[in-house]
Amino acid sequence: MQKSNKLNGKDLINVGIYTAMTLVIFFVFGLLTSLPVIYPFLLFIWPFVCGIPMMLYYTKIQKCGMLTITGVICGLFFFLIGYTWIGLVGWTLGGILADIVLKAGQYKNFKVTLLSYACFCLGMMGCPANLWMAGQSYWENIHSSMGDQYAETLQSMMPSWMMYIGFVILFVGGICGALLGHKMLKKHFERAGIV
Amino acid sequence: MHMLAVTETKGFHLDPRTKLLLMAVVATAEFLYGHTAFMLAVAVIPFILLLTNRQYKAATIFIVLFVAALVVKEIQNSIRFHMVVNMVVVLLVGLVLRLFPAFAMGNYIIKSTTASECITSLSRMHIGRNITIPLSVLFRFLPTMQEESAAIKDAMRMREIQFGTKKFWQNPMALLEYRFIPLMISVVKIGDELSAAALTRGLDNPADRSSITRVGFTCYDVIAVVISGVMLFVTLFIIKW
Repeated sequence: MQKSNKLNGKDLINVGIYTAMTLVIFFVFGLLTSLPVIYPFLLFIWPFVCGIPMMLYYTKIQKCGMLTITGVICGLFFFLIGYTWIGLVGWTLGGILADIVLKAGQYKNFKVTLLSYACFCLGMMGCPANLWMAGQSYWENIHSSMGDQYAETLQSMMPSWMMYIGFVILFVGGICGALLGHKMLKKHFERAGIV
Repeated sequence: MHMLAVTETKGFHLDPRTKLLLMAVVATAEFLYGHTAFMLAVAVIPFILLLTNRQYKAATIFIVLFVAALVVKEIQNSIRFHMVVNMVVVLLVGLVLRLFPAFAMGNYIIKSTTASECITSLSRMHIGRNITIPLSVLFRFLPTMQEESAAIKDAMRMREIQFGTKKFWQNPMALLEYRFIPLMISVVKIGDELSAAALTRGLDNPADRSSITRVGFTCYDVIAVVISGVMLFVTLFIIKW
């Protein structure tokens, strides 16, 4: 990385602000997971609603590395609240992937932004991935902690093939979220003089 | 030099690194639990820490809710609730048992750690500025976002834009638009001011950051780690009920 490409203080503060916004929105909607029926839909809802702050964030990104930091911080947060190391790895990989895509596209084109955000959303898989990766012990935990009924419903809603479908849903959700965010950007933020 | 001595006079306090360790232990332990004693031991750690920080109200609320959830969980499998009721009960009990110890711990960490302490100890752990600055901004912003969000909620209530009203069901997306976007705009504005303030105070200075806050492990850290370690070990392997 060249000297002029290094992140300065303003960039880092921006990372903090937008990560905070995305994380809060993600978390508020994540609380819906307590109802197992909603779980599969969340894979779409998460990237959809997070699209608004993230699109605003993308207008500020000019340098490589910012999305990686966002991914690492989100991952750390979910690691600390109990999503094990899979949460950390998933979010970090999503951030790195999004950064690579964005760097390859030179930060200009909206289509690149769209693709990059969709890649970032794949990292969100880090949260529900526990259901499949951690295997039987995780399920036993849910059985003992959430009660049998909850676990059975969850298991029937989330069979193992859902994981691959999940990535597709996240990707599509990411694209829709980016479009929604872009629309909001045009409608509100440009008028308010923020972009 | 008298200024430096001020920070040394506080009573029970932990190094931020110890707090992070305990947080990781609590967050992991929540997923290991099998029996009641262990869960109680996990909950007692943040409870006592909250008490030492004089957050009596938070501590009381936390422990009352936690014990109530434990009781409900004990009787839950003997009574078969109706499906919907069971869903709600499982939701609440699961939330409290699974997430509240970590929440209480997080509450304690945020209330008891100053930003300066946090940054200093993180840089001692050789975590670069690329992580410490966004992280401290993040924690600085969580309470701000809460305040702003409450203000916007009040304003929108006057226009009947809130969850569950007739207007909401006519156009659910409006809730998203009318609550999130003003919040984002105000947060972005505050953030711009914050970065201007931080830059004038030399955030971009490449030299190593120095701090008058003294951070270091004391006997309190040893006591806290040993007691919680022993408590968890005993309840996990010896007392099982």
